Amino acid sequence: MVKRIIAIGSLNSLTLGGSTGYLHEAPAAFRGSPMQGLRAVIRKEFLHIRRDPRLIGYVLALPVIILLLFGFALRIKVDNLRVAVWDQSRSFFSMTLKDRMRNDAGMQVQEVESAEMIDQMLRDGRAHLGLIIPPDFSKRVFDGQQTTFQLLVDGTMPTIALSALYGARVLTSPEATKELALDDPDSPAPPPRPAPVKIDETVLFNPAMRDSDFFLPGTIAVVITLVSLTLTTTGLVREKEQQTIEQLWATPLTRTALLGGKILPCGIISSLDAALAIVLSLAVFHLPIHGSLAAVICLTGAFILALLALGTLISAISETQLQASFLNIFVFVISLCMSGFIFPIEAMPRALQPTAWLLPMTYFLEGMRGLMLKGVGAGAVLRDFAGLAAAVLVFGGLSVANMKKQRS
Amino acid sequence: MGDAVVAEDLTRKFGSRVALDRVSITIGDGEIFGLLGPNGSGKTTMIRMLCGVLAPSGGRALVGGYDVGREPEMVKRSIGYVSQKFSLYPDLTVRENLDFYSDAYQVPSAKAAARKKELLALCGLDGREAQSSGVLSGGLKQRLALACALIHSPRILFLDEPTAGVDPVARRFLWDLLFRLAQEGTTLFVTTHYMDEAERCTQVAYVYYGRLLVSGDPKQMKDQEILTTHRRVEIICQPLMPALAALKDAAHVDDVSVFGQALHVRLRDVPEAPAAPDSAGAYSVAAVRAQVMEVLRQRLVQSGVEVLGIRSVPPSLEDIFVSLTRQMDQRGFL
Repeated sequence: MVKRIIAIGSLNSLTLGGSTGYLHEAPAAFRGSPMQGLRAVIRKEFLHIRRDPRLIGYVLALPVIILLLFGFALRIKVDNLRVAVWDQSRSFFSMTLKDRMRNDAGMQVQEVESAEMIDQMLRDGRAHLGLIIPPDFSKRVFDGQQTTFQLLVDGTMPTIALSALYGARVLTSPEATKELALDDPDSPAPPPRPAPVKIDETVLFNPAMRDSDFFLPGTIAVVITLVSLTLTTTGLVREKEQQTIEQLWATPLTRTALLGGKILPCGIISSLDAALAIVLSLAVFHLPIHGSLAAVICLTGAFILALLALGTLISAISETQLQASFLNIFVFVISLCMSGFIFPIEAMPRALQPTAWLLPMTYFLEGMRGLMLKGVGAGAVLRDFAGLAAAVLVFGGLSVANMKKQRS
Repeated sequence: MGDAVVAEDLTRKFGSRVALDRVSITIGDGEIFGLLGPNGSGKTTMIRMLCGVLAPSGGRALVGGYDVGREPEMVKRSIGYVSQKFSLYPDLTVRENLDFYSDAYQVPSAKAAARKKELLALCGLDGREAQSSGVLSGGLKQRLALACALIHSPRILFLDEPTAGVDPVARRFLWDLLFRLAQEGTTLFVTTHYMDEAERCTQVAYVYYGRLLVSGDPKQMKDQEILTTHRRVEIICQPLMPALAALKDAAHVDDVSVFGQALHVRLRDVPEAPAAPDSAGAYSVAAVRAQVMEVLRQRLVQSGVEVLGIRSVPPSLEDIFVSLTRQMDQRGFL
C-alpha cells in the first residue's frame, strides 16, 4: 500500500498495542555475562594507552621530573641572605657580631659607608637586610648599656623578610650576649643581670625545618592529581567530541561498564605513579615516615579514588576536550594554592579557610604530613579519610547521575 | 510476531527547530526499508531515535516490540547500528574492534570465535585481522563496521548512509551483503541519498526537512504514478541536440535530458480538467497525455527534427520525489 502523506494531518491507522517483542525467544547473545562489557571497555582503554607511546612517556617521566625538581628546588627559607652593614663603630665587638652573622646565620656581609648606600642596595635588591651600628657601640658595651642597632629589611617578599628577621636573631642570642659581656673587676658597671625570661626552644617533628619534608607530600599529591585528572578526562570526552559515543550508547554496555572500564585503567596507572613518587621521596630525599606505612598507602589510595571521581565528573559535564582541560587546570591550580601545599591554610583569612576544605588535596596533605612527619596513628587521620570518602561519593554520585545513554 | 519497527507521530525538536515532524511508518519483518531525503531532513535524527540514543520529543516508536522512549536498553539488545561515522577505533586492529563489540554485546565466548570467523569471511576481511583499522580504505572500514554491528546476530539492522563516499564496487558489495542478510530474515533500515539503492528496497520513504512526504513499495509507487499522472515521455529523434534545444522552453515541459539515443522529457503536472474531450467524448488523463505528446511532436517537426518514436515511460523514484517536492513548494508548506 502506498501512503501519500502530503496533508499535514494524522495517520491514525496504526495500532501499537498489539505488537509483541522478539525477546521472548532470546537471541543467541545475552547468555554471556554482563562482566563482559566491563572487560571489553577495560581492555579497549589499555589498548588505547599502549598504542600511544608518547602518553606512556609522559605518564612515567613527568612525575619523576616534577618530584625531583620540586624536591630539590622548592624552599621557603632563604639561605644566602645578603646584609649591608654600616659599621660606624669598627670595634672588636662589632667585628664579633659581623663574624656571627657570617658564620652562624650564613649571611653575606657587605660593608658600606652610609645610610644612603644601604637604602640603595635594598632598592636594587643587592641586599636583603641593612644594619647600622652606631659609633658609640664599643663604649656602651663597656658601660654595660644597651645599644640599639637599626635593622632595615626588604619587605617585598614576606618570606624573605621573615627569614631575614629570623637570621638577625643571631645578634641578640644568648651566645652573642655572653660574648659582649665583660668580666672586668675594674669596670664600674655591675655584672649584667640575666634577662627575666629565657626561652628554651625545641622544634618538633621537623627540627631542621627541612623544606623538602614540608613540600614532598604536596609534590606527591601534585603528581597524582596531574596524572589522574588528565587520564580520566581524555577517554570519555574524546568520544563525546567525535560523536562516536552514540555508537557505544546503542550497545547494551551499561553505564557501570562504560564508567568503570574507563576509571580502572586510570586508577592503576595513577597508583603506579604514586608508588613511584613515594619511592623516590624515600630514596632520594630521605623523607621520613614516622607513622604506619600501611596508613600512608591507604590514604594515598583514597586520594586517588577521590581524584578519579572528580575527573569523571569533569568529563561527564564537558562536551569538548577543551572544556575539560579548562576545568582540569582550574582544579589543579586551586589545589596548588589553597590546599596548604605552599601557602598555609592558617594564613588565609578565617572566612575563606573553609574553601580549602572542599579540596581533596587538603585532606590528603593533612593526613600525609601527620603520618609521615608527626608519626600519628591511623585513628588521627580518620577525619582525612572521611573527607576523601565524601569526595568519592559526591563526585562519583554526580557523575553517574549525569551520565545517560540517550540524548534527551 | 509483530512488525519490526512501528513509529507513530514520531517528533523531535532541537530548541525551536523541528527536525522531525510527526513521522509515522511501519516496517514488517524481513523488509528492506530505505529512508531518503536531502541532507538535514532528519534521516539521522530518525535513526538515532529508533536506536534509542536520542529521546523523542513527541510520538512513540516500537522497535523489536520495545518502546524506544521508555525501554531503550531493551531495544538496544536486538538491534545493530552502523552510524554515519562508522565509529571504529582507528588505533585498534580489525580483530580488536571485533573483540570489543563482541564483548559489548555479550556474545558468549563459546560462540564468539566461530561467529567472528564467519563475519570476517562474510565481509571479506579475513587475512586483515591484525591490520590497524585506521589505515583501512573507506569500503573496508564500512564492512568492518557492519561486521561489528552483526556480531550478535541482531534481528534489525540500522545503517545510516552506509555507502556515503564509497566507490561503486564497494557499494555493490555492501548491497549484496545486505540482500543476503535480508534473505536470512534480518530487517534492514537504511538511509541513503542514492535513488538506485532506494529502488532496491521493499519499502521506501521520502522525508523532506522533517516531513514525511510519501512511503510505500517503490514498484507500487511507480505504478500509481503511471496511473495518475503519467509524466515521463521518451522521444527517439534526430538530431538530438537541436531537439533538446527546441523542447527546453516548451509548454508542458518540466525538464528534458538526453538518455542514450533518445530524449527523456518530464512533463509538468497536467491540469485537472483536460483541454478537450477525446474521440469518445470522455475526459481522461491518458487522452490529455496523448494531446500533450502530440503538441511536442509538432514542435519538434517544426524545428526540423525527425521524430522516430514517442511514448510514455515509467517514472523513476526520483521523478516521484521531485514532483512531490514541487507540490509541497507550490502549496507553500515548505
